[in-house]
Amino acid sequence: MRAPHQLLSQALYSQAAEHQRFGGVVPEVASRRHLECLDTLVGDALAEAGCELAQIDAVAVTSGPGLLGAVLVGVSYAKALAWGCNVPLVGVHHLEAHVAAALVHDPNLSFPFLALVVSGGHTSLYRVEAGLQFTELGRTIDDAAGEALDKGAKMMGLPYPGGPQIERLATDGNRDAIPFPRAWMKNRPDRRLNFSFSGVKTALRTHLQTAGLYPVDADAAVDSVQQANIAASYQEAIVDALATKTVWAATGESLDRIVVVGGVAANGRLRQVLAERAAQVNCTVTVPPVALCTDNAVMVAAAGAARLAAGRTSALDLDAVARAPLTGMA
Amino acid sequence: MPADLTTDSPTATLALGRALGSACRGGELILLSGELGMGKTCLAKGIAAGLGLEPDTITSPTFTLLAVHRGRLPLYHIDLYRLEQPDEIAHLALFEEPLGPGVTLVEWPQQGGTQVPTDALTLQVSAGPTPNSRHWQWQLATDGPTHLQSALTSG
Repeated sequence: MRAPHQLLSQALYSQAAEHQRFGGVVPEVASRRHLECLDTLVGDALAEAGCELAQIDAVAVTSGPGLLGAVLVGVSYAKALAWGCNVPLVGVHHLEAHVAAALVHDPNLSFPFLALVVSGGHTSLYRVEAGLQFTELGRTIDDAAGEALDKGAKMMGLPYPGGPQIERLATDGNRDAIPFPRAWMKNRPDRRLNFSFSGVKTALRTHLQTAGLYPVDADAAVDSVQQANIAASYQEAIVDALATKTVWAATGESLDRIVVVGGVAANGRLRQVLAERAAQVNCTVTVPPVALCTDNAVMVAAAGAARLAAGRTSALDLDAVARAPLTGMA
Repeated sequence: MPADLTTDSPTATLALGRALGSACRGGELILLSGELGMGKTCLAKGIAAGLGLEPDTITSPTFTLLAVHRGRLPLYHIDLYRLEQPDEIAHLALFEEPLGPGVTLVEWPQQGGTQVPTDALTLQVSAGPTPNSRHWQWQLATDGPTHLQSALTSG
């Protein structure tokens, strides 16, 4: 990454195939693979950029939050690399990096804007000011949207990762077939920008149970119309809540730019609904391509470049943290 | 000693959790199992409230595996849903209580097999007679947090 946001090269080793065997991201597998792959990846990225280690200006690394074992491997490696090259170390927050992916996609993106960070572990709304300064406006109070999609898929007997499976089935389904609930938080107007997806998850289980589809019987014949309708209605309830609250947040903050990042940003229905709703209030929506939306190293470099430009580097005693709020992170 | 009880709404489940959390003194292990969408996180929110925490800050630890909350006592909220190899628990040091003795709450304990300690209050939630009601079967190990029994029988 050449400052400010010109991408030179990237290397990505996908653990998705590895994780598929286990029905999820299993941490021990993740950190072991991190150890094995990291050095090779850095070498590949440098080779592709036509760079040598001596030419890098800084080393950026995610210092949290995340699976501690995996974060620790990255932080330790980055410290050694920065120390060895005598360049600054820049620790960045995982969610800050997700938002920075939008700057790689659109270097002219102007601040302030509204960011929806939506993945398997996070669902949050932020006001983002120049220099990547964040103010949290809302967040999930129980499950993340991606988690609700994954667990919904699991209840329907679909393979991992569940989000894309639900989206694929939903394409042919009736989105209004089943009135799954949306948590609008009407009794908590001060917290209406928060999300809750545990209710819709429970409603799905109840619906499947009533229809005789839960627990899953692997030998039973699948009614594909019924399955498509359930998937479409379930996905719509989640997408509707995400899109509606995102637009509420943007209008409430008088922001006319919305940025969507995180793994669930890959969901085509979310992109479509959000674009429609945002257009009604004269908001633009920026969604980086899928490769930049799911976890990747480019977004970490982008956030690191922004911090470096603002003189916000880290000391070599940078800690890996499992859990940290984004606002107020140094 | 095993027994059971029923909560007739999410509010009642929260109240059950709050009674359990209030009775905790530090060092308790609570194992919580039941199918997806049964209200395990709801009970966790109640236990957190009983430890002086804001229930809205208790989110699902499925993604992070372990969430540490600083309440009246530390709350170690563990979720083994994504774990497939029980011996990973040792690698991850999930039961080490980094902030000192607190309340360790484990969702999906069966994923951890024999790696999960047994000196516990074990709760198993299933559907009750009405859509919002839940049936709770509980068991207190003789070397477990027996002082939590009053919170289970007084309601």
